[in-house]
Formats: sequence, structure tokens, C-alpha cells
Amino acid sequence: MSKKWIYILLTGLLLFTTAFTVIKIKENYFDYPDYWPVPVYDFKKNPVTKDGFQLGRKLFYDPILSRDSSISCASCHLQATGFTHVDHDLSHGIEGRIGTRNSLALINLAWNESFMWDGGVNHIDMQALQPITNPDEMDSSLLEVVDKLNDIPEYRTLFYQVFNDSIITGQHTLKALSQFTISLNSYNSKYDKYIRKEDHVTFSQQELSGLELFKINCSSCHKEPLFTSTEFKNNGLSIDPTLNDYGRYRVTRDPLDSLKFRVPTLRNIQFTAPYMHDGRFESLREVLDHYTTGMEYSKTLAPELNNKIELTSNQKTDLLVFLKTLSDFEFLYNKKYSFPRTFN
Amino acid sequence: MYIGGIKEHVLNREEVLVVKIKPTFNGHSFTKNTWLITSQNDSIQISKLRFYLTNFEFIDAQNNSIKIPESNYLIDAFDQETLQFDLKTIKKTNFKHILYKIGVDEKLHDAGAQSGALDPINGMYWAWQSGFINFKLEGKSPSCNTRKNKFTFHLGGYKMPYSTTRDVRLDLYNKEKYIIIKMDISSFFNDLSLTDINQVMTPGEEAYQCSLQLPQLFSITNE
Repeated sequence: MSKKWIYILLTGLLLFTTAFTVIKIKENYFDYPDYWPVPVYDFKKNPVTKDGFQLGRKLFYDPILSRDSSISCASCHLQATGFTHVDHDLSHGIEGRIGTRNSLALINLAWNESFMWDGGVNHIDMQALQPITNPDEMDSSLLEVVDKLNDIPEYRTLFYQVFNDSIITGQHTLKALSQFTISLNSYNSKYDKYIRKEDHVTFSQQELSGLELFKINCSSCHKEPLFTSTEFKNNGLSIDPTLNDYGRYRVTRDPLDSLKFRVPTLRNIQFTAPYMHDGRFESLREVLDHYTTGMEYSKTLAPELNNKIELTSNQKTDLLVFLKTLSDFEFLYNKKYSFPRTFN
Repeated sequence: MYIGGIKEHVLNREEVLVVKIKPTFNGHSFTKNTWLITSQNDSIQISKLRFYLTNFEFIDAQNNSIKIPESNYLIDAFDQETLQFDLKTIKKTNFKHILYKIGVDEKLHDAGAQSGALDPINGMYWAWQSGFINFKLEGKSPSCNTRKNKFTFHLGGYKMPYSTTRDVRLDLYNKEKYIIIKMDISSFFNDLSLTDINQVMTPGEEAYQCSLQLPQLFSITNE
């Protein structure tokens, strides 16, 4: 064996033993596995700090963001359900008002190039503006929120600690919220531990079969390791005449974008029901039935879905069993992300 | 050394150039909701006129460019306080031209939350489709077949080919302390029939077309 081959073999062995184990701790509150892609978010413009994260967390759980101080971000983004609103097909607002889309799960947002089902929001800092100002959600304005915050000495102190300015501004309010939401990273599911060969985690025959089926039928859009391609696709849903939502077309005005919506992450998908932009499916079984027998074919349909997906009932069960391995209980019950009864 | 130091300090001392914005309609000043008549014979009342002037730059006699960093101003035609601002220049020279943008630099529309005049608190940033509203003009006209006869122009959009941020370059001929920029909003309506176009609130072709007219609104005046 030549020296070159020995070198390659040794490098391979080294990679095999070291890769897939180390978790990068970029900041106190932002970490992710080292084999993941580099986040899109520019941390230089808004470095996540302990105090900034805690301030963002306090704001996230504070109903002061809504006009009548009745609902907070957490009203529709509950931690235990992957930071989305379980059992509600469309998002809720103040005074029982109802929006037009299903609230998205807030998971691994630092890898998103845009936000919302249609990608209309171009930066996570600006994401909070939408629910704060939407009449069907919090029905307030950033000015109103900042005025209310400036009246509270505790907030002025906290903002001073983070931004060195006790006059609270819109920019700082949005950046503080970003420091919390950008840190909601999920990477400790059974699947992750299986991939990292951690804690002696093994997959059952059913889970292995589900993973294979997933790779064949789903992973071109729900790409590992984030389980989304962060693209917009028409996945063959028929139009709901009570909503007439054409998705990304509203943003780009490009007919080629008609009926396209964000490919959502499948992480913690077991708990983020109902599914799709309008929450039309209550269970994952219904979602799989849609892909096998419910597809509506149209001009903008994702090319990945042109070939009919065929799955037997048993295969669907295997796939569902696999999808449950994407549940990350360390994320869903991490006290770091929960309602801040006390700081720390 | 000491004297030389002082001399240098005096020479490079930052000087302030005062810019005044003078909103007019056909050359005459106007107040909120007064009746005005456009060249298309539409009677109008203007209730809101807010816009960004940004990225100020001067060209001197030697064709050197002097850029004023972070020169972003939100002008409200009906708020006197916003109609005058100080530009800090390195050294005042005989500038030949003044350059600026109407609207916010395209690069800043997707760069996250900004401060000062660009803070989204000012109500000049879209929530549902990110990007600054570069120029807001609202009012009423009997020619508008809309609710309460309202017209609403929220010009924004930063992506090609429909960017609505426009460049202005004006000659300077006075050597006064002030630079007075006249804005004649009547020109906005020169090629615009309010019966046909009265609601522009999304980025796209219409907003782009409306924005093309904006540089014509501005001129340097002595008055």
C-alpha cells in the first residue's frame, strides 16, 4: 500500500472518530452541531449575549407587545409544541380575531434566508413587525410598543444593560427579540443522536425502514440536517376558496410562484399539528395520504412531486415512526427557552 | 509643533452645512389639506407627505467626491422640524454639485433593524413584505373613485428591476451658508391621472413608474 493511501485511510479514520460529535459553542446561547451548514444570520450585526437573549426572552413572553396587552408571542408559539400553536389551523389574535395562516414553528431560524410562509419578511429583525402590527394578531405598532416599554423602569434598565442606552428604540426592541428567536436551535432528537452515534442510540427496524423511505420520497425538499431546503414549493394542495391564498405569488407577483409556500422544517413535526400553511391536516397520516393520493397537479407543482409517491400502509407507518425520531425533548422542555419566571 | 497642530486642527475642523427643504405646490408653499389643482385638473388635498432623503454627497471644483456618512433624513412636509438638517462636512469648499437619494439605499432594505431616521418605529417600513417605504403621499380628490375619495401612494421596493430609490444630482451656484432644496410636489401629478391611478401600496411596476417622476420634484433655489 502506498503512503498516499495510508494517509487517506488515516484521515478518514480521524474524521470518522472526531466528526459528528463536537457541538460548536459560538456564543453562550448559540450552538449547533459542527457538521451543520454555517448559519445565514449575520451575528456581527447583533451578537447574541446572555443579557440580550434574556431580554428577548422576556419580550417574547410579555403581552405588552399586543394593543390590549392580552397576548404575547408565546400565545401562538408555544415551546412544548415546537413554538407553534397546536390545534389551531389559523393563527389567533387579540379579541379572538383569526388570521389567515397557520403559525409557523420557530426552530433553527438562523438558517432561514427569509421568513413567513411566503418569504415576505427578509430579515429576522423585521419578523416581529408583522404580528405586532397585523390587526388580526397583536394590532399594535412598534411605536406604541416602544412607548409602553419606555414607561417601565425595569425594561429601561435591561435595555441599558444590553445596548448601553436606556432610551428604548424600535431597533433595539427588534434586535433583542431576534437574540432570543435566533437561538431556538433543535439538534438533540433521537435522529441527531443516531447520526452522531451518541449515547448508544440505535434505530429500530421500523425507524431504519422509515429513514430509507424518507430519503427516497421526502428528503429532496426536506433536506437533512435542517429538514428543509428553505425553498418555496407548490406541494399540490388544492386552493381553499375561503382563503384564496396563492402564497409566494403575493410577494413576487411572478405567476411561476403561484401556490408556492415555504418548505417547513420537519423537526419536532410530531408536535406541530395541524399541518400546512392553512393547517388543513390534523394528523401526519393525513399529510402522507395527501402526498400519495390527494395531490392536485398544476403548472407550478414542485418538480420533485411530478412522479407519484407510492407508499403502502405499512410503509406509511414506518415513515411516521421515523418522523417521531425528529422530536427533540431537550429542546421542547429546555428551561432556557421557557417562560422566564426568574432569570437564569 | 504646537502651533502647527492648532493650524491643522483649524483647517480640518468639521464644518456644518445647513440644508433646508422647501415643499411647494407650483412654487407656492401650502398647508395640510388645503385645496390644490393639478396640471391634470384634479382637485386635491394633501394630508401626508413623508419621504427619505439619504446618502448625501458633494462634488467640489476639482471633481472630488465628499460623501457624508450615515446621512439619512426622514422629511415630513408638514413638520417644520424635519425641514432643516445639518450635514457635517470635512471642510467646506466651493461645491459644484450636491447628490443624494430619494429613498433609502437599496443595501439597507434587507439589513435588519436600523436606527435613527431608519428605525422601523417611524412607520416607514412594511411589515408584510419587508422593505422601506421610500416615499409616502396621501390625500383626497373627487377624481378618486375610492373610499372617502382617498389616494394613497406608498412607494417602495428595493429589488431590481423595480427599485424605487432614485438618485438626484443638482448644480450648486450659491455660496450661501444654506443650501435650499425646493420640492415641487405638483410635478408628481404632471403625468398622473388620479382617476386611473390612486392606490399604490406594493412594490412593482406601478411604484417604479411613479418613482421615476420623483427626481424632477427637486431643484436648488435661492429664495
